[in-house]
Amino acid sequence: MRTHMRIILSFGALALLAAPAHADRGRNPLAGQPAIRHRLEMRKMRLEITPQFMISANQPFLIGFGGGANIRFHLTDWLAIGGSYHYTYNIASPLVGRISEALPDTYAVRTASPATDDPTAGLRQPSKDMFKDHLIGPTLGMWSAHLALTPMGGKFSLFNALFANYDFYGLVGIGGVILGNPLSSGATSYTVRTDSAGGTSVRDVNGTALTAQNDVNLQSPAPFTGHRIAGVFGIGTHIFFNDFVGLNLELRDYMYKANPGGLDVKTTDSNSDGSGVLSEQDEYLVNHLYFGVGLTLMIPPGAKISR
Amino acid sequence: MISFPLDIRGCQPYKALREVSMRRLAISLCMVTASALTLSGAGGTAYGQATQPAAAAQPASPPAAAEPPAAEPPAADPPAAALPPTGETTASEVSGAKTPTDDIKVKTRWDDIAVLPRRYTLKAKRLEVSPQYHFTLNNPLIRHHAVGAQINYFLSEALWLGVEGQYYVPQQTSDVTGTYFLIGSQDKALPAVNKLIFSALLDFGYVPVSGKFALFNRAIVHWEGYVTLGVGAFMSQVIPVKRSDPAFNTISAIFDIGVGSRLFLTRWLALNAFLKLYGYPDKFEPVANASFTRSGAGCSSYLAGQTAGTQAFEDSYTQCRKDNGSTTLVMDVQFGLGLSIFLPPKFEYKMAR
Repeated sequence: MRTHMRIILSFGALALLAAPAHADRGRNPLAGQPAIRHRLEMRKMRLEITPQFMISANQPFLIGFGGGANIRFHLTDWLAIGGSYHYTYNIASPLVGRISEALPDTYAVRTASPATDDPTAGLRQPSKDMFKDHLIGPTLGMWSAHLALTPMGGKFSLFNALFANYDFYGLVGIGGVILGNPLSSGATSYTVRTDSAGGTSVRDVNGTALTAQNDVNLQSPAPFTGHRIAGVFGIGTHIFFNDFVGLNLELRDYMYKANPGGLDVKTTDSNSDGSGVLSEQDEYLVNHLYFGVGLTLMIPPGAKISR
Repeated sequence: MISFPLDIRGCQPYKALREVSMRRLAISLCMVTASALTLSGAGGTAYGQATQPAAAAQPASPPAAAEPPAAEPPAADPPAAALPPTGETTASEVSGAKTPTDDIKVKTRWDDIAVLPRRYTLKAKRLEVSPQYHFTLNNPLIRHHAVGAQINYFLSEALWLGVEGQYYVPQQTSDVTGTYFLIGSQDKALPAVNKLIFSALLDFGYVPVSGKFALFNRAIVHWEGYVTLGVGAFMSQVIPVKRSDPAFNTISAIFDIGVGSRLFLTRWLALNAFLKLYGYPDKFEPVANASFTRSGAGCSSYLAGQTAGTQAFEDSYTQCRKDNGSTTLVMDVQFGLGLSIFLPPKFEYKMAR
């Protein structure tokens, strides 16, 4: 009997000892482990400096192109804080030419004697110069302070021969844009048509809106210029040539309130006599997409290798 | 301590152990040992623990084959490594022998590991069926939403030929912040604008880039990047600025150039994202020149001798506006998403891993 008990106890003790090992065999030993060990951490605790060339992608009236830089400090391999500043020079988009074709050379105004007014005076169609002088766009650059998240990183083969590390990132932050009139001639007065016989006169540009009989075509677009706070969103990728130099491609959106056409949009701010007024109420939320390409430099030059 | 000459595997005690008490003890020890072996995996090594080579565990006996046969003359100076004189020499040489990775610095050790030890999926001689949706990014006056499909046949792992077709749904916002509306409201002028109806292209594609990425270093996803080039035909239609004017169609050639990426969800299913530039010469109605009207001088030669209001008059007027329209090379940048379904779904690797 004692022998049988000894055997049973021996089995029990062994079973208890073997239980954890038995459980371990059913579990994947790689569960919970990093997908890649000895991974080249291209970003962790490194400073990124990226001079960029930037061009606008979706502005209706302007094509902005210029340069600037992104500076980011990567706290981890996937999280960074950074800032940027870019300046863009603006040229007219093809749409400006198509609209200008349909606009008159000289603005026709109403006078005190409507009988002799130019027939198109009631239309209040701006002249070519007025149209361009009112267009709004960034003239002194754009800045941002942002967080960059890099969830995806790896390496790829080009033609199965060249190998490079790369990553994809997204950024979100706040920024600012300084708006002006990039295509403006700087005119402070315009020659206008006063009658159907070809008579003209000169009308000054109003710096501010008149309280009555205001003509938005003759009002300065100053209410739409100046600094605007923007939400900044973007996605991008780095393709590293080695441990510290890489190619950067980025698509960035500055979302802020603006009035790209620079003329009247809403009637809620009109004068009591019904004449339109240019004011900040004529601004609305606009997405401004910019595509950037740059050269990324990582400091210090050496990248760490994970455990 | 008492030691017993015991055959554990057979559990057959020697005849000297046939006394009852000793036999019980032997049987119990035998069962305990057998149980332990069974429960601990019969002597298997733990995960990741390398099995010790037999040569290192036991001293090698002098190789009998090392002695040259009597009939053959011995080599003049046989290399020591080829014919080790003793077992101790063999073990030390084995342990001291260099491996290919020993000459690689620790810093660069991982750089020479192939990025793609084996392709995640094979595409050669498979068909890719890809339903797609894309939309224009850069046209401020009208946005085109396209639904369509692309069917590609992979000639190799990297090269494909295919066809694509799209049907377009135009979107022209009429709210106060729509650019088209605002231009009319602010500048009292409306630019000419066309809508796309359909396009069909013959495509050529190439996959120069393939790779994988780690998602937060937890999951590995395979992907590839491609470039594509295509030519075909499209049809567009004028959206008349004046609703009373005719909307004529234009059919002409179109080309596209693009880059894209496939993100493999399984070996036969991938998420397809692409950016394409569609270029086509589109004909717009004459908006800026007010003489091309039913009563204007621009169309007088087309409408001479015809009665206003008849079908022939309207056809001639349409032809006048079409002939005097302006042709512009339109560049539409389109972003698209699609699913890539590879058929047949299964494939076999031809070479061993």
